Amino acid sequence: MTMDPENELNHADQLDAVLTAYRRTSTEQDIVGREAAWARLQARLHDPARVPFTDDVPAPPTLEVSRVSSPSATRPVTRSAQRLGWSIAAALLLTVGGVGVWGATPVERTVARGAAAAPIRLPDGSRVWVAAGGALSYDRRLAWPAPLRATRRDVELQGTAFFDVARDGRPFRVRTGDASVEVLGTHFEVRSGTGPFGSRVQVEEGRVVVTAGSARTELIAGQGAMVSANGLTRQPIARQRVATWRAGGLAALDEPIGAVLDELSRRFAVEITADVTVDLLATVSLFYPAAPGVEIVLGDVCTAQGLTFERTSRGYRVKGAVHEP
Amino acid sequence: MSLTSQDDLADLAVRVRSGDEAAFRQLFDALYGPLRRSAVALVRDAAVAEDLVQEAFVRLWDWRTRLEAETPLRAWLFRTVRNLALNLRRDATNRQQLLTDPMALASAAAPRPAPSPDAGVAGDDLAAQVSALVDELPPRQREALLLTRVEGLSHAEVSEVMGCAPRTVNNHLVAALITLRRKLRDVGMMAGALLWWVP
Repeated sequence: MTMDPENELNHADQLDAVLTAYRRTSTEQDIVGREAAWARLQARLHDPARVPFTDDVPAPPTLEVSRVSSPSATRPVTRSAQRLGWSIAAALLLTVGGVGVWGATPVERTVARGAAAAPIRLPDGSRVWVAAGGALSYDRRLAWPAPLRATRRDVELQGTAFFDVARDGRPFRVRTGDASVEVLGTHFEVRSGTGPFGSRVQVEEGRVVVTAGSARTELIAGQGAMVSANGLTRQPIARQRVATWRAGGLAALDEPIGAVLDELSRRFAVEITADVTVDLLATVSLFYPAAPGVEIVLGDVCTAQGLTFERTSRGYRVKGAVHEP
Repeated sequence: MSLTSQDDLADLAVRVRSGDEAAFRQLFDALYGPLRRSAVALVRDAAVAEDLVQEAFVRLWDWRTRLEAETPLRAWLFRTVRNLALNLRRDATNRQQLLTDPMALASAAAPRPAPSPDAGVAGDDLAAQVSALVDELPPRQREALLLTRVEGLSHAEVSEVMGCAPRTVNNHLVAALITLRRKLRDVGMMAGALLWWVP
């Protein structure tokens, strides 16, 4: 059945009216149960036995055990009290040792393939956006009380992340498999290398020092560098496009196709394979301010390079152009 | 409910983050109904849905200080409820497969009872009928439609909740509206809808 646009519009209005009515009636029913639900929620939140829902709070070491031993000082020391003292000391030692061992294990945060970028706040106040399919690990002791506090802020990165580093006097270092980026406080993006593509650093604000093997270079705002076979290669970057992926966008400036396909695969959680005829090191430039679909980006990459792609059961296959004999 | 404009929500969000219980209450009042509805649409069990919504608010309260200022709270709550519902469904499916109870499978596969012929006559049943039609939509389409048209979330928020691109949200929505419009015409409810709900 075909309809003229005006009639169609009219129907849309009616539909909205019906849906609004649906909301109105069900809202009235909800209010009755809402009060009870609020009371239930309050009871649960204020239940002293409740364990709050948190993921990895770096709890300060508690040494309250020592308070238990102080009243015993006024009483004559009996054999059992002595034994108690020893057990407390042992418990204390175990607690301190346990906290030490626990503190030395880094906190690992991973972001699933296909997930949206959300900021992770590190205990020192820095914020890190980790792109889909990435992982970040950092020292649990970043913000512990003074004697136990980590003296350096070292984090390890797999995948891509944008850093907004809080200044607190301690150096902040991001390590990837083949490079290390050191800063004091600034905004920058790091992408760890995968396969043949070296790690990449782009600085939005401030100043960073990048080290890769024996090569070392300093980057200021608006500069970027990539790890390559002969050390570090400087790259031009568009400052306003650094880490556009945080808002769902996608930007690549003279990026190897292989790196772009890797990123698409992580972001959309699909498998993207390429035929051997495809030159993965050929570079492309792309920019999408808002979230593009995977097929749109693939289509653009392929058009730019004279390639084609097809769907597979688990994702996509990029194929070289068909050459006439 | 007047507290659903973006500015009000942003203001509430700031106060909730600073531990203001009155603001938390206001947020709860404003979003409890919509969240419960969206949970019911996902799990189809009011009691379970209420538990999920409560869990989402508990998490919000526990997490309030570590949520970033830019986190849109409404989308965050809807997404949390949705994730909890999906986890529940996944666990239930796993359990179901382990038990392989033939009776339960049979009852799950049973067709829904046909609506009684005179149900359409009463205006009070209209919303129920619409909701029955909405229930028959494919899950993603139903979700996109309810979140945008009934709960008033923006496409950007829905894409945040459903974890897909805004363009995809729009596609689901268009498909849902086309189906729904056709069904409503078939049922002959459009005239009734006009009479009852359009001023």
